[in-house]
Amino acid sequence: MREFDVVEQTDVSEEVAYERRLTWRAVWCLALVVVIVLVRQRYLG
Amino acid sequence: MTLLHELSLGGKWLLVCTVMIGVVPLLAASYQFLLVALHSRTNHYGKVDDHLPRTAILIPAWNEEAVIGASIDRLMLLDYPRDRLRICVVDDASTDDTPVVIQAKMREYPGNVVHMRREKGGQGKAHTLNHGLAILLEDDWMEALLVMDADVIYEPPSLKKMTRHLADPEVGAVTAYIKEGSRPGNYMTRFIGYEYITAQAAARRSQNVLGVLACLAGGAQLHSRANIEAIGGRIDTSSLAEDTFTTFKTQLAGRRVVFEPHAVVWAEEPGSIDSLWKQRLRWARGNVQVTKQFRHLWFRPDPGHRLGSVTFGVFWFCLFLLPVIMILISASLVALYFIDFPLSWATFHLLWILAGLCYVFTTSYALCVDPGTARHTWKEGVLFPGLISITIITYACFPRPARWCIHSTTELLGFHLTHGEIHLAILFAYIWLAASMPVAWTARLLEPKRAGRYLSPAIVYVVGYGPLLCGVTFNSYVKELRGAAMTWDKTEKSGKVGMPA
Repeated sequence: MREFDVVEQTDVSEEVAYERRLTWRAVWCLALVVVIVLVRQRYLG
Repeated sequence: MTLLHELSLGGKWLLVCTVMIGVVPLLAASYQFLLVALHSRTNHYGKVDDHLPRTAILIPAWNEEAVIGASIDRLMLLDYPRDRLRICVVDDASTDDTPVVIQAKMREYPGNVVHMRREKGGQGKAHTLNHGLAILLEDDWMEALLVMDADVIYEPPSLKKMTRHLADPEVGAVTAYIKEGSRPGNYMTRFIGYEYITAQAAARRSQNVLGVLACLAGGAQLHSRANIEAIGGRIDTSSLAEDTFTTFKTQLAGRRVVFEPHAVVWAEEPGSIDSLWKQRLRWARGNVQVTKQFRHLWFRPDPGHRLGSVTFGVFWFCLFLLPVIMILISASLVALYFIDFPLSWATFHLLWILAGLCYVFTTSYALCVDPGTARHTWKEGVLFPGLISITIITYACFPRPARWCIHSTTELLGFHLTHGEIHLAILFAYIWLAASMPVAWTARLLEPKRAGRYLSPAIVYVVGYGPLLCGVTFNSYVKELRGAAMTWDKTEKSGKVGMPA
């Protein structure tokens, strides 16, 4: 067993919130790809 | 006749399949970015705790008088208890005033700074680190070891953010997010800044999700003492990629390696093509050595570690074999052009349309992963594949408006493209993937010349930073095949790195 000093429970809420925002940003970027595909199919292909 | 016809048909489809191999790295890159989106669910934050192990910071230094003093000062500003911090500078037989600067800092921070002098140096970073490691392991003060470079800047909370992961006994090592921090920067450092978003902030998050890390950043690797002892108490000296060797050995010893994207470390990266080429050639040759050394691991899943997972293997080899894949695609397209032009044209379109979609997703998402860096590197991000490749992508994705643009431009300029000229342009587009690498290499050749001051950056923007890196990887194959001597070309540093205000 490792013997490190445990000071207090770490607050990782900021990090977790940022990672959640990244998930949503991925959704928007995928949506951008879908829009490009639809525009191409309908108007520019 | 039937046999000949069947052979010809088989040959054609073989060529089409070879071209479509190019889809694999594109899909792999997109999948890697999709995994980033899962990092909010699959991460190590559930197992962290505020642990403050006694940490020895090991800094290899050779002729670092310009940066080492400021580095030590900044490390003393880390948000970490001073009595749990020891900065050990391994002076690799420096011939400048590095020892004098270190001794002055020892007097300024008594008990916090240690000078470890090697009388015979120049053997490379791994030997220098091993000298310090041997001394550190002699007593039991050290509970964790941070290996860093002399010139990097740790943001004050970064060490604490890294050590908290060691609270989990399954974790052997932690790495941070290295950001390009040259002030003032130039076009090259901006390209590297964007590259690090993709190669670190994004790729390493996805590796966290997969539970396997390819490489601990050389300038920011934190190990538990138990891990250092488990991997033999020393760094591998047989290759140019000691960081990757250490990362693999840690995971083979059954410990996890974690990337902490919120621990930020600023580093000065090469500001010229020549300097970048030397640095990346060392890394790429190291990767060739790692690929050979750990050949028994690839694509062989093992319950003890994830290095043998198929996904990790695909990610690794897509990068490792990218130059070969690019050459194969071009050669197959040209062969198809002469055998069956309509089929070659359709295959070419399909490949580049997929490339376009992957490019839009990965680039837009990369810029979202680190908006702070994206603010000053977005142009380099957009032009990462090069202006010519983006033109080809645009033509493949939107042929009608592209044709209209070409037609209008040629009409405006008062000439018409002949059938032969159009086919020459098509052949150029077919061979571009392979040709982009030697063209990128000319940017390096031109750089020291007078015209190169303007021409070399222009070539990089037109050809792309990606093909430039592929050119380096190809060069590494050649060097390894020829058994060229392993020289430790130290990247020149000026100490102009800084954190944004």
